[in-house]
Amino acid sequence: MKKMWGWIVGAFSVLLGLFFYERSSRKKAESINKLNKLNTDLSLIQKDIDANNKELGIEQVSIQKQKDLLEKASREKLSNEDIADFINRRK
Amino acid sequence: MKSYLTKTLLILSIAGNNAQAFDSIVLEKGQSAPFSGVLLSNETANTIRYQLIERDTFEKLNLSYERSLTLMKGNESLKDEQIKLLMDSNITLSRELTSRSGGTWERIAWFALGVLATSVAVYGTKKITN
Repeated sequence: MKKMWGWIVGAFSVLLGLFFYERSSRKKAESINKLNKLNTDLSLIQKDIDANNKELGIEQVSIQKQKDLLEKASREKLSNEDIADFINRRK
Repeated sequence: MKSYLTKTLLILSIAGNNAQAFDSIVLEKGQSAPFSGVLLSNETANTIRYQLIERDTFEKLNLSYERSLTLMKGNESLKDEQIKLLMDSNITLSRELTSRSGGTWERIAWFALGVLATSVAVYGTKKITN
Protein backbone atom coordinates (compact mmCIF):
# COMPACT_ATOMS: atom_id res chain seq x y z
CA MET A 1 0.00 0.00 0.00
CA LYS A 2 2.82 2.40 0.97
CA LYS A 3 4.68 1.56 -2.22
CA MET A 4 1.62 2.16 -4.35
CA TRP A 5 1.00 5.62 -2.88
CA GLY A 6 4.66 6.39 -3.33
CA TRP A 7 4.36 5.52 -7.03
CA ILE A 8 1.18 7.59 -7.41
CA VAL A 9 2.71 10.71 -5.79
CA GLY A 10 5.91 10.19 -7.79
CA ALA A 11 4.06 9.79 -11.10
CA PHE A 12 1.88 12.82 -10.34
CA SER A 13 4.97 14.94 -9.61
CA VAL A 14 6.63 13.81 -12.84
CA LEU A 15 3.47 14.56 -14.86
CA LEU A 16 3.17 17.99 -13.22
CA GLY A 17 6.82 18.68 -13.98
CA LEU A 18 6.38 17.57 -17.61
CA PHE A 19 3.29 19.76 -17.98
CA PHE A 20 5.09 22.89 -16.78
CA TYR A 21 8.20 22.05 -18.81
CA GLU A 22 6.13 21.63 -21.98
CA ARG A 23 4.24 24.86 -21.37
CA SER A 24 7.45 26.78 -20.79
CA SER A 25 9.06 25.26 -23.93
CA ARG A 26 6.02 26.14 -26.03
CA LYS A 27 6.03 29.74 -24.84
CA LYS A 28 9.75 29.96 -25.50
CA ALA A 29 9.31 28.56 -29.03
CA GLU A 30 6.47 31.04 -29.69
CA SER A 31 8.68 33.92 -28.55
CA ILE A 32 11.55 32.72 -30.75
CA ASN A 33 9.22 32.44 -33.74
CA LYS A 34 7.89 35.95 -33.15
CA LEU A 35 11.42 37.27 -32.86
CA ASN A 36 12.51 35.49 -36.05
CA LYS A 37 9.52 36.91 -37.95
CA LEU A 38 10.30 40.38 -36.67
CA ASN A 39 13.95 40.04 -37.71
CA THR A 40 12.92 38.80 -41.17
CA ASP A 41 10.51 41.72 -41.63
CA LEU A 42 13.12 44.19 -40.45
CA SER A 43 15.82 42.78 -42.72
CA LEU A 44 13.46 42.88 -45.73
CA ILE A 45 12.71 46.54 -45.05
CA GLN A 46 16.41 47.19 -44.56
CA LYS A 47 17.12 45.64 -47.97
CA ASP A 48 14.67 48.09 -49.58
CA ILE A 49 16.32 50.97 -47.73
CA ASP A 50 19.76 49.82 -48.88
CA ALA A 51 18.54 49.58 -52.49
CA ASN A 52 17.11 53.12 -52.24
CA ASN A 53 20.37 54.37 -50.74
CA LYS A 54 22.31 52.78 -53.59
CA GLU A 55 20.12 54.59 -56.14
CA LEU A 56 20.49 57.79 -54.15
CA GLY A 57 24.28 57.39 -54.36
CA ILE A 58 24.04 56.98 -58.15
CA GLU A 59 21.89 60.14 -58.36
CA GLN A 60 24.40 62.04 -56.23
CA VAL A 61 27.24 61.00 -58.56
CA SER A 62 25.14 62.04 -61.57
CA ILE A 63 24.39 65.45 -59.97
CA GLN A 64 28.07 66.00 -59.25
CA LYS A 65 29.02 65.05 -62.83
CA GLN A 66 26.47 67.51 -64.25
CA LYS A 67 27.79 70.26 -61.99
CA ASP A 68 31.37 69.51 -63.07
CA LEU A 69 30.37 69.59 -66.75
CA LEU A 70 28.64 72.93 -66.26
CA GLU A 71 31.67 74.31 -64.46
CA LYS A 72 33.93 73.10 -67.30
CA ALA A 73 31.61 74.62 -69.95
CA SER A 74 31.65 77.99 -68.17
CA ARG A 75 35.45 78.15 -68.47
CA GLU A 76 35.64 76.94 -72.11
CA LYS A 77 36.10 79.38 -75.00
CA LEU A 78 35.41 77.55 -78.24
CA SER A 79 36.46 78.54 -81.76
CA ASN A 80 33.91 79.59 -84.40
CA GLU A 81 34.11 76.14 -86.04
CA ASP A 82 33.49 74.35 -82.73
CA ILE A 83 30.52 76.57 -81.89
CA ALA A 84 28.98 75.98 -85.34
CA ASP A 85 29.58 72.26 -84.90
CA PHE A 86 28.00 72.36 -81.44
CA ILE A 87 24.87 74.12 -82.72
CA ASN A 88 24.53 71.81 -85.74
CA ARG A 89 24.98 68.69 -83.61
CA ARG A 90 22.50 69.91 -81.04
CA LYS A 91 19.66 70.35 -83.55
CA MET B 1 0.74 55.11 -105.12
CA LYS B 2 2.27 53.85 -101.90
CA SER B 3 5.74 53.67 -103.50
CA TYR B 4 5.41 57.22 -104.84
CA LEU B 5 4.44 58.52 -101.39
CA THR B 6 7.42 56.76 -99.76
CA LYS B 7 9.84 58.24 -102.31
CA THR B 8 8.44 61.72 -101.79
CA LEU B 9 8.75 61.43 -98.02
CA LEU B 10 12.34 60.18 -98.36
CA ILE B 11 13.36 63.08 -100.60
CA LEU B 12 11.68 65.56 -98.25
CA SER B 13 13.40 64.11 -95.20
CA ILE B 14 16.85 64.23 -96.87
CA ALA B 15 16.21 67.80 -98.00
CA GLY B 16 15.11 68.70 -94.48
CA ASN B 17 18.26 67.24 -92.95
CA ASN B 18 20.50 69.15 -95.39
CA ALA B 19 18.72 72.40 -94.63
CA GLN B 20 19.26 71.78 -90.91
CA ALA B 21 22.93 70.91 -91.41
CA PHE B 22 23.62 74.35 -92.90
CA ASP B 23 21.75 76.36 -90.26
CA SER B 24 24.98 77.31 -88.53
CA ILE B 25 28.04 77.98 -90.70
CA VAL B 26 31.41 79.68 -90.17
CA LEU B 27 31.98 82.95 -92.04
CA GLU B 28 35.28 84.77 -92.47
CA LYS B 29 35.37 88.57 -92.28
CA GLY B 30 34.29 90.10 -95.59
CA GLN B 31 32.88 86.82 -96.89
CA SER B 32 29.37 87.08 -98.32
CA ALA B 33 26.64 85.27 -96.41
CA PRO B 34 24.87 82.45 -98.31
CA PHE B 35 21.55 83.25 -96.64
CA SER B 36 20.09 86.00 -94.46
CA GLY B 37 20.19 85.41 -90.72
CA VAL B 38 21.81 86.57 -87.48
CA LEU B 39 25.54 87.13 -87.20
CA LEU B 40 27.01 86.68 -83.73
CA SER B 41 30.47 87.46 -82.38
CA ASN B 42 32.48 84.53 -81.01
CA GLU B 43 32.01 85.79 -77.45
CA THR B 44 28.23 86.07 -77.76
CA ALA B 45 28.02 82.68 -79.47
CA ASN B 46 30.07 81.18 -76.61
CA THR B 47 27.72 82.78 -74.07
CA ILE B 48 24.66 81.38 -75.86
CA ARG B 49 26.33 77.97 -76.08
CA TYR B 50 27.01 78.07 -72.32
CA GLN B 51 23.40 79.08 -71.63
CA LEU B 52 22.15 76.16 -73.71
CA ILE B 53 24.41 73.74 -71.80
CA GLU B 54 23.26 75.35 -68.55
CA ARG B 55 19.62 74.81 -69.47
CA ASP B 56 20.24 71.17 -70.39
CA THR B 57 22.15 70.65 -67.14
CA PHE B 58 19.40 72.22 -65.06
CA GLU B 59 16.86 69.92 -66.68
CA LYS B 60 18.98 66.88 -65.81
CA LEU B 61 19.69 68.20 -62.31
CA ASN B 62 16.00 68.78 -61.72
CA LEU B 63 15.26 65.22 -62.78
CA SER B 64 17.98 63.86 -60.47
CA TYR B 65 16.71 65.94 -57.54
CA GLU B 66 13.16 64.75 -58.16
CA ARG B 67 14.33 61.13 -58.20
CA SER B 68 16.36 61.71 -55.03
CA LEU B 69 13.34 63.24 -53.33
CA THR B 70 11.17 60.25 -54.28
CA LEU B 71 13.81 57.84 -52.98
CA MET B 72 14.16 59.78 -49.74
CA LYS B 73 10.39 59.77 -49.25
CA GLY B 74 10.45 56.01 -49.87
CA ASN B 75 13.17 55.63 -47.24
CA GLU B 76 11.17 57.72 -44.80
CA SER B 77 8.09 55.51 -45.12
CA LEU B 78 10.25 52.36 -44.82
CA LYS B 79 11.86 53.72 -41.65
CA ASP B 80 8.39 54.51 -40.28
CA GLU B 81 7.41 50.92 -41.00
CA GLN B 82 10.50 49.69 -39.14
CA ILE B 83 9.72 51.93 -36.16
CA LYS B 84 6.11 50.68 -36.09
CA LEU B 85 7.26 47.04 -36.12
CA LEU B 86 9.76 47.68 -33.34
CA MET B 87 7.21 49.60 -31.27
CA ASP B 88 4.62 46.82 -31.64
CA SER B 89 7.24 44.27 -30.65
CA ASN B 90 8.27 46.40 -27.69
CA ILE B 91 4.67 46.69 -26.48
CA THR B 92 4.16 42.91 -26.79
CA LEU B 93 7.38 42.22 -24.90
CA SER B 94 6.45 44.70 -22.15
CA ARG B 95 3.02 43.07 -21.76
CA GLU B 96 4.53 39.58 -21.56
CA LEU B 97 7.13 40.75 -19.08
CA THR B 98 4.48 42.36 -16.88
CA SER B 99 2.27 39.27 -17.00
CA ARG B 100 5.19 36.97 -16.13
CA SER B 101 6.96 38.91 -13.44
CA GLY B 102 4.12 39.80 -10.99
CA GLY B 103 4.66 41.69 -7.73
CA THR B 104 6.78 40.76 -4.70
CA TRP B 105 3.74 39.97 -2.57
CA GLU B 106 2.35 37.77 -5.33
CA ARG B 107 5.60 35.76 -5.35
CA ILE B 108 5.52 35.38 -1.58
CA ALA B 109 1.91 34.20 -1.77
CA TRP B 110 2.76 31.58 -4.44
CA PHE B 111 5.75 30.39 -2.36
CA ALA B 112 3.60 30.06 0.77
CA LEU B 113 0.96 28.19 -1.24
CA GLY B 114 3.63 25.81 -2.51
CA VAL B 115 4.89 25.14 1.02
CA LEU B 116 1.32 24.59 2.20
CA ALA B 117 0.51 22.22 -0.68
CA THR B 118 3.68 20.18 -0.05
CA SER B 119 2.92 19.96 3.69
CA VAL B 120 -0.65 18.84 2.97
CA ALA B 121 0.59 16.24 0.47
CA VAL B 122 3.17 14.85 2.89
CA TYR B 123 0.69 14.87 5.78
CA GLY B 124 -2.00 13.21 3.65
CA THR B 125 0.35 10.52 2.37
CA LYS B 126 1.48 9.73 5.90
CA LYS B 127 -2.09 9.61 7.14
CA ILE B 128 -3.16 7.25 4.36
CA THR B 129 -0.20 4.94 4.69
CA ASN B 130 -0.34 4.68 8.49
